[in-house]
Amino acid sequence: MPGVRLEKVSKRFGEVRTLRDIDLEIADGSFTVLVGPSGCGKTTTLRLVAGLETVSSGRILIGERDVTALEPRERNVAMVFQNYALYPHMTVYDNIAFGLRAKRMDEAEIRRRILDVAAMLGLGDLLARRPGELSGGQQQRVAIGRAIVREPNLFLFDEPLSNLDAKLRIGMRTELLKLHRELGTTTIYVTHDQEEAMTMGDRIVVMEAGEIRQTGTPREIYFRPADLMVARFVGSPPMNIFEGRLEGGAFEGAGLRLPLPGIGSFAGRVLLGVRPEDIHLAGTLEPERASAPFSARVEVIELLGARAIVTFALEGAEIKAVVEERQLDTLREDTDASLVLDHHRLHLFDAESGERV
Amino acid sequence: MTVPLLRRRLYLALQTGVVGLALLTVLFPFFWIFLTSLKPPDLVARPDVWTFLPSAANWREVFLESDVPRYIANSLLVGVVTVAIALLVGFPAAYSFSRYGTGGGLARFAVLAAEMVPPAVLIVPLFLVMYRLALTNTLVAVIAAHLTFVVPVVTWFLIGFVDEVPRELEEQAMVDGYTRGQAILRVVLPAVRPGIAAAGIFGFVLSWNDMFYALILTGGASKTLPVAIAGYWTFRGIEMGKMAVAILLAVVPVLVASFFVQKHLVKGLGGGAVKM
Repeated sequence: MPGVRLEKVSKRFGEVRTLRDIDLEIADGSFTVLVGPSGCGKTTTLRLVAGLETVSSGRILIGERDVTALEPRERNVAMVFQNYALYPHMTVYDNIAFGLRAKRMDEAEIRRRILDVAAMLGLGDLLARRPGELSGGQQQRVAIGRAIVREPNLFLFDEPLSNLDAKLRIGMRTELLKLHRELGTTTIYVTHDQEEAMTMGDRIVVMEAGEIRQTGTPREIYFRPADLMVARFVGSPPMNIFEGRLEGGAFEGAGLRLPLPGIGSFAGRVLLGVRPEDIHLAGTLEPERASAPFSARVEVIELLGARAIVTFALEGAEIKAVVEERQLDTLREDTDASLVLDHHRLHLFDAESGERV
Repeated sequence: MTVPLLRRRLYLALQTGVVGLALLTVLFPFFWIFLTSLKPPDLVARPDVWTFLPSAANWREVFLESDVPRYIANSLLVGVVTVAIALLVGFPAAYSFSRYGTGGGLARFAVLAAEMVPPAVLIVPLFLVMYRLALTNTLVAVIAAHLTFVVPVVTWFLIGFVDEVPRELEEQAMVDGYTRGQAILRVVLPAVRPGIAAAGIFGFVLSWNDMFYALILTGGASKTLPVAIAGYWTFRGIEMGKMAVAILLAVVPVLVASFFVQKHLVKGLGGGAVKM
C-alpha cells in the first residue's frame, strides 16, 4: 500500500489562503487523522488529495506517483463524505457497484465482490433497498462498503461519523479500526472531534489556520503538545492554563509560587499548562512528584461515574481537576481544599509565541 | 357545545365558504363553456338558456369537418420541440448557474428578464428575422418565438432543482471513476428528474397557450390551436358552439398535466430564488 506525501502544498480560494506550504508525510498503511477547529484546512487538504480541488502550488504524491495534475478518477482513492453521498436513485447494490462499473468490470466479478463486502459489513438484507429506506447507520455502512469494494490505494474519510448519534458513533469507530486492521489500506481521516482523533489515529495531524501545528502519535500530541493551540485543543476537559513568570526556577502567577525542579535557566513570561488529571488532592500523590501544596475553593462537583470533574476557584480564575470518585468524600462545595500539581506532567509555553518551552 | 369548538366550526365554515367561492369563480366559466359546446345550433347564442336537449353537432363538426385536429397536432409539435430544445439548453445553463455561480447572483435572476419584456417588443425583430429567412407561416418561426420565453422559465425551474442535489454526489461519482460529464449524466440528471418533468410540462403549457406570437407568425395550415380558436370569431359572427369545443380541447390537457406535477410546479417556481 502506498503512502502519501504533500510537498509545500498551498491552496488559495480567490484572496483567501486556506492552506500555507503544507508538508506532510503519511506512511504506508497508517491511519492518519487530520484534526482541528472548523476552517483549519483539514477538509481542503483531504479534497486536494482526492483531486476534488487543485493545488495553488506544491506537489502531491501517492506512492511514487505524482498525482498533482490528475483527475480524481485517475487517483484510485475512495472517499466517504460526511453526508454519505449515496446515489438516491440507485439501490444499495447499484450504489456499491457504481465505481466498479466505471472500470468496466465483469458483472459476475462485481457481484462476487459486492456479496463479500455486504457480508463483511452486514448489508446482506439491504442490497435491494434504496438509500432513502435506510437508517443513518446503515447508510454509513453502504458508503463504507462502496469505498472498500473498489480496493483503492487510499481511503479518505471526511467526518464520516458526525451525522450519527453518540452511541452508534462509538460503535462505528471500533468497526472502522477493525476494518483498517483487516485491509491495511492507508487511511486519511478528517474530524473536528479531538476525542475521535485520539482514539482512532495512529498518527494525528493537528491543524489550525491553514497550517500544521503538530504531527505525532496520540501520546505525543497529548503528553507533549508542541504549542498552546494543540495543548488547548486536545483533551477534555481542556488543559488548565495559568499566566505567570518563571524566575529562579519557580513559577509565579495566579497567586501561586511553585518551585519547578529541573526547569533550567529559562526566565520570563510563560503560560503554565496543567491537565485536569494532573491536579491532585494533597497527600494522594507520591511526594517526589508533588509540587508545593496550595489551597483553592471547591465550586462545583460533576460526577461522571468512577471520576468527577471538580471546578475550583483560585484567585478568581477557574481550574478544573479530574478526581477519583473515592476521593470525593474529603471535598465539600464552598470549602477550601489543598491541591498539588504533578510536576512531571507540567507544560510550559512561551507567553509570546505560544510555543513549548 | 363549548365556545372554542363553536369558534373552530365557524372558522371552518368561513374557510369552506371562501374556497368554494374561489372555486366557483374559476370553474363556472368552464362549466358554461361545456354547456355551450353541447347546445344545438339555434341556442348557442343564447347564454340565458340553461335547459336544452344536448347535441353532439359541435363536437362532430370540429373533429370531423374542420382542420382543428391538424391545429392540435401543430400545437403539440411546437410545444414538444420547444420544450425539448429548452431542456437541452436549460439544464446545462441551470447546472452552470447552480454549481459555478456563473455571472454572479444577478445573472441568475437576469435569466428571468426575458420574461419581463412585453411580447410586443420582441415580435417586430422576430418577425423581420423570420421574414428574411422566409420562415414566416412556418412552425419553425413559432418555435423560435416560444423559445424566447420557455428557455428562461425552464432554466429558472431547474436552477432550484440542481441546487438541491448535493455536490458530494457528483464528487463521489468523480472519485468513483467517472468524468464530470458522466457524473452529471448518471447522477445529477436522474436526481433532478421530477424537476425536469415539471419544467417540461410548465414550458409546454406556456407554449401551448401562446396565441400572440403564433397569431402574427403563422397562418393557414401552420396555425396553432389558440389561433384557430380565435378564428371562430368570423365576420359573420362568433361560432360559439365550435369555439367552445376547441377551448375545451385546449384547456383540458393542460389541467390534467398540471394536476400531476403540481407539487413540483410550486417548488420549481420558487426554486431558483432560494439561494443567491
